[in-house]
Amino acid sequence: MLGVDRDEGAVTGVLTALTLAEELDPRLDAVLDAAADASELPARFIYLTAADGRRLHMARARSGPVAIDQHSPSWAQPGSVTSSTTGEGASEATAAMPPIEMAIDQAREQRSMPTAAGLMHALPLELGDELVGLVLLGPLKDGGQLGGRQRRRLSALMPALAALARQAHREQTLRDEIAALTSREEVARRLAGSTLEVDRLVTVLLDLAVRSTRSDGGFVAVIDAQHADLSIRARTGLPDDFLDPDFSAGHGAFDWDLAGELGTLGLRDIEWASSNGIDSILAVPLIENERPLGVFALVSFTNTETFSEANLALLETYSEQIRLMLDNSRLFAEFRRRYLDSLRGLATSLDARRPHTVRHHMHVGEVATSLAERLGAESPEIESVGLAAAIHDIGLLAITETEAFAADQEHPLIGAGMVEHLPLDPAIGEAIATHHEWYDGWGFPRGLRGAEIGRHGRILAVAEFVVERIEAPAPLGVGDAARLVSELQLRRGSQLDPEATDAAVEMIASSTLPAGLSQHLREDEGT
Amino acid sequence: MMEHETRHHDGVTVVELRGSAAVADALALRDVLGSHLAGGDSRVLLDMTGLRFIDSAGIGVLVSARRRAEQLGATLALAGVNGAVARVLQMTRADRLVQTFQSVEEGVDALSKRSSGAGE
Repeated sequence: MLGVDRDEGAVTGVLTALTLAEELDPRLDAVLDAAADASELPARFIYLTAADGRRLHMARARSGPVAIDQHSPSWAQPGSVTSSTTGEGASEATAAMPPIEMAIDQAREQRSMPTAAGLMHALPLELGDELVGLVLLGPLKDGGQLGGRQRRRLSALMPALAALARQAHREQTLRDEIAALTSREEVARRLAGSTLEVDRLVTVLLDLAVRSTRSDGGFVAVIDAQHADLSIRARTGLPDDFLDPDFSAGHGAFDWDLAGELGTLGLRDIEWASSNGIDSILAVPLIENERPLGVFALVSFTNTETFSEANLALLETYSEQIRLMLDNSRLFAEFRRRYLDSLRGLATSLDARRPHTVRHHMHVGEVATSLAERLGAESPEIESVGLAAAIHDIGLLAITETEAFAADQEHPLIGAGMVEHLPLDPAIGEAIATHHEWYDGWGFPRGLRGAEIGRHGRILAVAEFVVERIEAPAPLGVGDAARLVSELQLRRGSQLDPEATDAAVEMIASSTLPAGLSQHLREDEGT
Repeated sequence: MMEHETRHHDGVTVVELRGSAAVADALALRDVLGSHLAGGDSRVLLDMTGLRFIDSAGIGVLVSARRRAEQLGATLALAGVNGAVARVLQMTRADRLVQTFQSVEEGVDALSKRSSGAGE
């Protein structure tokens, strides 16, 4: 009875551990504890069957003063155990591990293993014909035989241990797969976002090209679509005192007729190369569908013969990749430009629906830009504020007239959704989404407050308030500057951001409102 | 290091280039081609058979020499282009600008006929 009680206690312990523990190791420790309890031997190693079903790999090795000779990891044939030495007194520092992996056919047949610590008993964990895993117990005492009582208890416990080990293993495998999928999704998401970080990726390709061709450095110059001139966008391996080439057409460093059909590219300014210490330079024109995109150049400062035929093949490969990247970037920029133009056009048509909102988006854009400048924003932020303001109400286009309440509530988020898929400054979509939020949290659609609303959104809210108060028909229209200032100050810190409100008050006080708006105020002032 | 040797066949000036035509050799190549064109050679064939490598500096010289020849009513062509040199000509698109012949014999034959037939 004592043995039965002990077995039941062991199983209960394992079940409790498996129920409570989410991670694999505590569960395997519970299996080892149960096996040790039943065998009255230390149990420190457990192997689990690998996914391919052909190997077992060590899944858990618990620390303890057991030294195993890693130089003789082979499994003993039945009856072939010849010698073993005990590991008594062996320190942790000298402890060695049994083999990390073993073939499943070999493991299935073995029941013992000679080690430096002594002979270990191998307990296969089997469910029917399936070998789930294996536990090493030991070292065995007195001649290397497990007692009959221990054998019976282990035999009785084994199916439960096998089932629980398999369950724990499967859950862990599932967690690993989920983690791998999550990781891949994250990588894919980041790559999708980063494909537009052209300069960084071109630099990466350039660096790879330099390394693989064993040249010393290089650069990629890209043609500006608007000005049709070349400028270096990526460089690597060029010394600090390297004098950039003059890309001027006609007399620059390179002989490249951008408007010509042939697209032949050669170096014209040999003195430029010599003065930079260049021994050889290979500059390749980047051309897509006869459209010149840029120049990809590798240089060698120490060896004229750097560019072997094999290296030229590599160079051509990288040239192709850079060309594709630049062309994709150009196409995407063109798509983005046209899409934003369409949104601006839609915003303009939205304004034209009512006489008092004609040029509303344009005026909000002008005021918002001016406020951003007054608040000390840098150029990119000013541009973002201006773009957000120029299209801030486009979400209204998605809502019918009969949905007036819904229009008010939803149009900021709908409008933000119309630009969020573009690789724009995220603050633009955020500004559109938050331009009806109030500084004190009483706005819509999300009830954000204070700094929870991005600065772009807070500026846009003030700009729209100013424009609406000036252009709205009576009785909402303010009519004159003094009343407008009064209205702004009334809402400072409640509806409107204090700093942006102060900037708006300064703008009005200094009569620097956009011309169309200030004129409107003066005309109304006289009525 | 580039070496060169000039021969004349059937009214065609054949300039044999050997070694490499990179930055350090480009000025010398420019001088050689410039002197032939300025000296009145109306059919210049560059024998590239012995040229192991050419870089953008060498290509630049070929491009400008080709343009100069056109201005003078002369012809500049290449022969025996192979290996890395052929690849560089293709990558820089110089092969689209400068006429190339498989061999010197073929080039001499074509240029000499063109010369006599066209009365250049």
